[in-house]
Amino acid sequence: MSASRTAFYLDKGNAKWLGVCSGIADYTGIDATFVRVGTVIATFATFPLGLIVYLVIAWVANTKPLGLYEDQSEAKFWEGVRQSPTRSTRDVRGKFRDIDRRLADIETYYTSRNSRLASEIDSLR
Amino acid sequence: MAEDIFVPVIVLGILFIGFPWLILHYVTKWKQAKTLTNEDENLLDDMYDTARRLEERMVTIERIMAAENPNWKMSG
Repeated sequence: MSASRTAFYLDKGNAKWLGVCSGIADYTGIDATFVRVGTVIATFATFPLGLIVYLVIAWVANTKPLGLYEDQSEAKFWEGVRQSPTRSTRDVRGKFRDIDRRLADIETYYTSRNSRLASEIDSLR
Repeated sequence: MAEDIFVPVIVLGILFIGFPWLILHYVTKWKQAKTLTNEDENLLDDMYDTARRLEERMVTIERIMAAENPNWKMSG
């Protein structure tokens, strides 16, 4: 079974320290820099609670498995799913409908061309 | 006196049973509403893959169509 793409992971690949901030950035799609600045401010504002929360997250959460996504667009898609599954599902449906419409265009072209050909043959009789 | 026993019992009951119950109740509700189950996730993954592959095929077919019949979009 493949690993879940909607779970929270520590992102050790882009980590500054334990990968919590980069993990949050990866999970939500927010820029890692903003997450880090926010974390630092929160750490000072709520000392030592913020630090404890950070360490607990680092201890509890799993590390992001290697090769979770095949490419960038897949990673982007799952980021969207984490934000709103409904919207992502609607996007996929939109894609199917688009393909259906384009296929219908081709079908119409071929059927109308065949009927044009048939009528031309008919007129030659 | 009865009050000396009842009040702490009720307070402790609310504090240690009522509150966690309330919080966990809403946590489970929120989880049910927000997250996909594992099957949903696999299904969505499959659909996304299928859509992407179909899209690639579609592009190939449209390219072939455009090469064979340069003005098929207009006449169609």
